[in-house]
Amino acid sequence: MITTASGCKYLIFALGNEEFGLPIQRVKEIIGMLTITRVPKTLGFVKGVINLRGKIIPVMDLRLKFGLDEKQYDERTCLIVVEIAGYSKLIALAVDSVSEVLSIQSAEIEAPPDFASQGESGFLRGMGKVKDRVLLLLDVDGVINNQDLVNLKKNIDIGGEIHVQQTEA
Amino acid sequence: MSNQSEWDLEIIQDFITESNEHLSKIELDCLGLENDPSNMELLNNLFRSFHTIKGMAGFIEENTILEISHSTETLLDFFRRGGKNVSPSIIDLILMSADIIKHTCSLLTEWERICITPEVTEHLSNLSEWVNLLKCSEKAEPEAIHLGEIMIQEGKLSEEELLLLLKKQKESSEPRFLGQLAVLEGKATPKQVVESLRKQEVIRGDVKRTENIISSTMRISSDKVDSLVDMMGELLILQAVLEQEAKKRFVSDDIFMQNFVRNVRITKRLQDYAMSLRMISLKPLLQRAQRIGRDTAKALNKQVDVVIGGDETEADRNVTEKLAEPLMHLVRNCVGHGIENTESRVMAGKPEAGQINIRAFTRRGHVYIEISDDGQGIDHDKVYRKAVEKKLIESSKNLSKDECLDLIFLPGFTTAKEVDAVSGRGVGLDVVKTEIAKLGGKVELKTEINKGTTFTLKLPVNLAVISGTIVGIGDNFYIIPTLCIRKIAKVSIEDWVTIKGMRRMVRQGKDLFSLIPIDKILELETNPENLIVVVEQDGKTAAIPVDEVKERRDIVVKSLNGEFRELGYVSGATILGDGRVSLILDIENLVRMGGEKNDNNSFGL
Repeated sequence: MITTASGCKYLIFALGNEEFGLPIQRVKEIIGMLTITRVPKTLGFVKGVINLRGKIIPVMDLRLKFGLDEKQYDERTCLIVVEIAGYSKLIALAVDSVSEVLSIQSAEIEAPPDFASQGESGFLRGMGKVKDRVLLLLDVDGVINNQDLVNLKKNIDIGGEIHVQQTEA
Repeated sequence: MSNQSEWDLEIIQDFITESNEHLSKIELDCLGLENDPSNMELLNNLFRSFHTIKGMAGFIEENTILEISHSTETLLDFFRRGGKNVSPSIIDLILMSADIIKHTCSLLTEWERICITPEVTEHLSNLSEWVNLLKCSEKAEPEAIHLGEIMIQEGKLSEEELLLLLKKQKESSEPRFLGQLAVLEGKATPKQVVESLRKQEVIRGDVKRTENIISSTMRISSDKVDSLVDMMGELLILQAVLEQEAKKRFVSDDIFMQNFVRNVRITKRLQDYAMSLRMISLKPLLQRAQRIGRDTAKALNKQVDVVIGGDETEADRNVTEKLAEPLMHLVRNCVGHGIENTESRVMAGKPEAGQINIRAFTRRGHVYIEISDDGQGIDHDKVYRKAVEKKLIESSKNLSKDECLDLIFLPGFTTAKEVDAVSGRGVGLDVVKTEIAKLGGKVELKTEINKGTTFTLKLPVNLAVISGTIVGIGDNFYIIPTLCIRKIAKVSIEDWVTIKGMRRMVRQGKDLFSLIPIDKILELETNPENLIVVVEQDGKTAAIPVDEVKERRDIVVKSLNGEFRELGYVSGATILGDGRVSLILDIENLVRMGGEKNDNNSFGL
């Protein structure tokens, strides 16, 4: 952990009007949008796979993952490549834009509100309050490990009804 | 053993690798010696192998191995010097030594404290008992090493003649060999000398020659080779990208293009070499299978000859490693279930000893391993009844002969009445099948009652580069492995056969192919309708409608992230010339799911 005396550095990115932060030490790199190859029969927020210098890695659209409206990718869209804990594998997260790296003191971080600590919002690490901004600090493993990585696919039952497989987290 | 430094670890690793090489050689030599007990060369090999292991064990101060190899070496030395034939019980003893050493080696890596177990003590005392026995029976025969002595023993020279020759040899101004002198002096014919020299060579053991063989190979860590292959893959992908770009900018007779084409050719060869580095011989694997067969037969009191063939065949290391377990299982299965006991064999008019042939060969990008026995064969009715009895299938089902036989690959299936050490636990053939399937291969079974059974394992030679045909379906390009393609054909509207409003089959001349509903599988809005690729997998055919067939090229197979692995329609991915990712269609799965039977389509459409 790259921790300063009392805090930690976060990569700040935007989805719609909200600002989010990811712990910087989990970020491998930030790249512009690449051509995505669609992988049929996967869950909606899995956009497909990209070629990252010879490595094939999946792309997850964070907007869709968080239940926001889909937005056309543009020149500001970025892919944040993060490492999946314990897999030494990479995954790219598509976000609207990336703004800066902020050092946030732990005094500036509040615990996530109760309603967010369960279920869908279990990937919040806390709320950063820097001056007048509110930043949603994400727990990387919560975001990508919560339930979907083992489960990027829909149940394969070609031609039949599509069952979305749900496993206990 | 608590403060092992890395240096030590490396030495131990080296020791284990080298020992294992010698151990597999020992097994082979033992089996050879069992068939040809008078073969001095094999005996010498065995002696040397144990001797080397002993030396190495002394170096790393591993006493169990040291003692075992020392005692075995002493035992072998008696036979070697005495020129005696080795009896089967001695062979068992030697193999036992090898097993103990192997086991001890496997403990070394885990830093387990190695103590001398009762098994080891018993074995050691067995060995020394034999040595004592032999010592008593041995008349002090001098070790004949000098050529002169051999020639005297063989009656080619008298002792006086030899002394005379030796004297001359000493006095002679130029150095001469004794053999040469003997010929020059007319004491022996060249033929006699050569004969005696051969004998001498055998006794001495041709150490020099072995050393030469060793120096022409070198040991490289497999990680390095794997990285090399990976890098080659990257290079090929990058080259494909460059090629596409270069074609846009240069005409084909431009000096750049000419050189680029040469570059492509060199890269291709480099790729072949890199791949060949990872290819290893199937020989050790087959030898192990042979050994397992022999041991199993012994344990079951059956007479079985295990013959191996095609051991020069090579396959990717990753394939070979994972092949071991399934293969051993099949061999045990053949001995346990396939081969009858001696009385039944005689009654059936067969030779007393059963025969198991294990043969490896390569054909069209695949390695095949056939395990065939001349045993009782598999009765498909029995299999069917057993499966019903075990409630693996419903009794009402009507199955063809082949489908009945396929039941033996179901989990929990076994026909053996009792559980024994060899087989009959009901875990088995299903594991073989899944393991092989994981490697992208498959198991085939042919059997004839009272004639025998043949299992065939079919595996890809390597897992990294295949020839792929790039096809456009919808807005994406997909790869179909070229080996699966039977033909590519244009179709017109009237060729389609529609059932209940769905296109289910396509007519091609006299043939009718069932259709893989690629639009459903790839979630497309429309189904291509002008072009089909007919694919074939294990005799079953099916047609995949495509929009275009682009080109055929060698593609580097990249496995998809584990999460995608269960997507039934895709077996991997590759990177195309434009840098985009393209999915490789899993033809086997597609054909199995969609194309196998027209009336019983598992898509449930």
